[in-house]
Amino acid sequence: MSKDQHHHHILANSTSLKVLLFLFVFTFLTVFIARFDFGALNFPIAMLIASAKAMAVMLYFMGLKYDDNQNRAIFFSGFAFFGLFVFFVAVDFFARPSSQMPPRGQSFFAEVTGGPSFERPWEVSEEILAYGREVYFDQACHTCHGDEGFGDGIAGIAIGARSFHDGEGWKNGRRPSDVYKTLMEGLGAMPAYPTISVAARWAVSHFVLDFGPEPPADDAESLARFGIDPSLADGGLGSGEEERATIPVDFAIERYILR
Amino acid sequence: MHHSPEGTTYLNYPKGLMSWLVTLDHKRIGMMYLASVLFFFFVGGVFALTIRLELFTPEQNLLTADQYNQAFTYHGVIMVFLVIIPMIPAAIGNFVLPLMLGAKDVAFPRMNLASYYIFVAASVMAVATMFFGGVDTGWTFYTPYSTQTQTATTLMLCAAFVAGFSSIFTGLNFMATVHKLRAPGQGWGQLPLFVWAIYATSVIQVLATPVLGLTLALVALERVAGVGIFDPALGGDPVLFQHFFWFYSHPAVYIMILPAMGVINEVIPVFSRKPIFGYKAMAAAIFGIALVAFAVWGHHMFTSGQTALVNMLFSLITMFVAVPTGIKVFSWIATMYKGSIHFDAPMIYAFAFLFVFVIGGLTGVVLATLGADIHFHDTYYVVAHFHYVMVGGTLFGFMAGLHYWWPKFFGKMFNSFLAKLSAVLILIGFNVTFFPQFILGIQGMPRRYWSYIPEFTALNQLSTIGSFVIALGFFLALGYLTHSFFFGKKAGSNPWRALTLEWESESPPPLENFRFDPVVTHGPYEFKGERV
Amino acid sequence: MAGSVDTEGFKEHHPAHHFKDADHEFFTVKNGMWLFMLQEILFFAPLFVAYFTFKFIYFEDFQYSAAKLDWKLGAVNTVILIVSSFTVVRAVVAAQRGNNEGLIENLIYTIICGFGFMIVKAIEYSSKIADGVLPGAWMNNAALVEAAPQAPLFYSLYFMMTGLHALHVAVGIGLFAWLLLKAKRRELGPKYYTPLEMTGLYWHFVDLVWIYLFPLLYLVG
Repeated sequence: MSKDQHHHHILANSTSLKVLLFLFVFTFLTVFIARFDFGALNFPIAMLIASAKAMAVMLYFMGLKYDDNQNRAIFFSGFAFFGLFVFFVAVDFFARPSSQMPPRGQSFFAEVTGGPSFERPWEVSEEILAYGREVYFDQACHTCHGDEGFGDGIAGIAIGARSFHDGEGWKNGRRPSDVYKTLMEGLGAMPAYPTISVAARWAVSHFVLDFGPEPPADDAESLARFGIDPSLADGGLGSGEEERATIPVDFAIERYILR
Repeated sequence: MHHSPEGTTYLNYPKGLMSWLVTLDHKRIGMMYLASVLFFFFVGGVFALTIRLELFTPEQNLLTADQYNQAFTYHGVIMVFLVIIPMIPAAIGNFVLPLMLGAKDVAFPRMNLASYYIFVAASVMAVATMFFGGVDTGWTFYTPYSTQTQTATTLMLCAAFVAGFSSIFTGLNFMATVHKLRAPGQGWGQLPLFVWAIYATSVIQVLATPVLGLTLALVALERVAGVGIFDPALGGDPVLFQHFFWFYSHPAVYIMILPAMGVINEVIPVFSRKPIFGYKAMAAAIFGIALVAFAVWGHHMFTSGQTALVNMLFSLITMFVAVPTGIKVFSWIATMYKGSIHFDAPMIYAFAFLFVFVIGGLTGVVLATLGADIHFHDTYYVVAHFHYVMVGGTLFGFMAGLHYWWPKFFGKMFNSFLAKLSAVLILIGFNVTFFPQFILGIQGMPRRYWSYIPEFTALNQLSTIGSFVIALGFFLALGYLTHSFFFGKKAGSNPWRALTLEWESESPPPLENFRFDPVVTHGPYEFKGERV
Repeated sequence: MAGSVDTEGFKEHHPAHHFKDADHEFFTVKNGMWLFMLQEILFFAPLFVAYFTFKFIYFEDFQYSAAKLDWKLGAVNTVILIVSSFTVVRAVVAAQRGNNEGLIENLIYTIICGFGFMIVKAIEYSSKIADGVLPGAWMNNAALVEAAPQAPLFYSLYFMMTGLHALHVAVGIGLFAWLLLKAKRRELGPKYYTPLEMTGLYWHFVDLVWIYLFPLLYLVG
């Protein structure tokens, strides 16, 4: 039977003062030691000093020294499980090759928003088709829609991915702006791609239309849906188009899996 | 609280709706949980049937793809957080635990009531999300989708956060109760194994749930405030989310299964008229499972991009969980050996549990095998595995417990034949629904997909038919249990002739649990090897 | 029951019916309080795990960003909390000895310390806000981000960890105010001081978290 069941321990004045002094001294110590650089030991030293202070608070102020084993076990087990948590996450991250982490001075942001830009991306051209082909494979479109656009990619078969070789039956229509709309909003099992750049979206729209017969043309009205005024030299693009600064799939694959 | 009048029970004394709403009586709180949990089981079941109907053919049947994402999200969130986790501990445990310990109530009755109302608040928030755009992230809320989707995810994250506190407080309460409110003569070695199981469950609840709470709060913060550690654009890491999430959610599945094992620990000895085989090993195994549970979460992340080293570590350690689990299964069988088996409804569910849980457990070992999991991850093999352990394990364990303690809860017996019929229907329906899913998974059908290739149609249709057989079985159960509640034959205090303390009180017990001071004079399983 | 007074001159306390006696209640509530603090350790844990992880991955960035914190203010806060833990202990001892004046005095000191902590925190935060040094997407200090691209991440963690801690401090202040009212009504004496003991344990826990946060964020970086 634990001794605490009948005994309310009263902490003596002298003890609590001694502990207070101890805490002050060790606080001073940790600040003082921080002036020196022990390299990799900085962190463990600081944590050790903190733990000494923590023990003093736990044992005396919180009364665990005078309490029963059960309360001690309860509290210390918390640290044990915390340690377990840290251990496995640490093993995961530290086993990653260091080349996966960006060197200092390089920001994720810069790489994401790169890529060519086009004066009038809603109009088809050789350059934009070439870029569209790049995007088609970088964004893994081919995994559903197939390498040749027949809708026979391994992920796409199960969900009926569209074949781009059909001239008919496109739910949103076959004008470039209709395909752009599908990319913006998604359609059924097709996810939306708001995270790739405006140029990339137009480029891949032209590219997929290129698999099939000549697509119907856009007019001012259909382009106006996306804030484009074809009578202007740059179409008025850049106003009201939101681009999400998020990692593209190819970037993530390269960083996390291939390295 | 004083002595309630002779002839009254906790059900009718004190009287009035208000007395229920502000009750501090653990038995009433348990019954309120029971009603809520059963209600949400049916809601979650409706989502399940909707999913199965949609998957009856590869074409669209009932739902668009977006709506399908919402359907499996709600099915998962409701079943995990509002049904399976609280099911046995909060509904049955609340009622039975203090009685088994000879206590007058749990350690903190007001906290107990607060737990219930926190649970209700969480469930209201969860349901409310349906009116604000729904949720389509899956119950696992993986980033980056969960930080970006334009649905009512933030509200659902709050709901799950709140539900977590209900769980933590219940676990805390039960632990303090077992520590401090045991009857004289009841050392740890005399505790019924159901108490051991609930205790271990409570340890997991207290240790793991706060991590989930904070993690979900972090996702909500990232959604709402752009302050985050999971978005690579902010320097964060989505795999870190998975570490945080599964640090709770793997132990959570043991919160689900340990209480069910606890129920089976009670039912099998009673209905075999034999002491449990290897009491100490059984208690140790419960703790062994609970402990190993904390070191294996990465087996949900084999394909996430976490490093190969940690993949191997998690795979290896996961294998160890099979050891204490196996000890329990073999001990149950050894308990029945040369016993005198009584095939009442609780025992039918216990047999069903053994059969189905072992399949679930073994397929878990398959999934723990790193190489195999690369193929099986995110396929129907996983779906089948966890339904075998959660439904076959927890739900069947719950049904066993519900039928076992039903006479104690309500003082009435249920129709034995209908109970057995319903159990068999549910068992058959369950296997018809989920066994084909193992095959579908091996063949490569992905989970959480709204459609599939035509080759998978036959097995999907079989699975859907099975799900309706399960529904039929549960409606039958709803029928005879409702009938029993109102018109059932009066039950004596110990209709199953069990030896744990709760059976020494009346059925149903009075407000103060015992009209005498209970003292434990024999072990919980000291059956004298009777023959029928 | 309003006026009844126990043998020590404090308001009579009746333990809940399911406890054997007042001591049974006290030690059970204490057990529960330790369990609550156990879950609090795990509640703060993910933030510490995230911090450790990113600190070692983005070592220089974190050091550079942390150098912008004022360690002197952090040290002042450490001293304040240590002193407040001491005054809490004195308050509990006063109640255990039936010294109601001592109890009230030490509760007031504790509350003052609590406010002191929050004021220093407010000073720290407002200086950061004024410099545009803000968490995550709110970061508005180009020079800092130029020198340490992961500074937004560091400051996300800094604000979240110290913010969560400060929230706990604020709750603690509220609890001590409630206890002060009870003390004024002579409800906390040798026969019953349970709420004081439990709040005291909570406050020491809050001190413990800061004992680790201070060197981690301000000194080692």
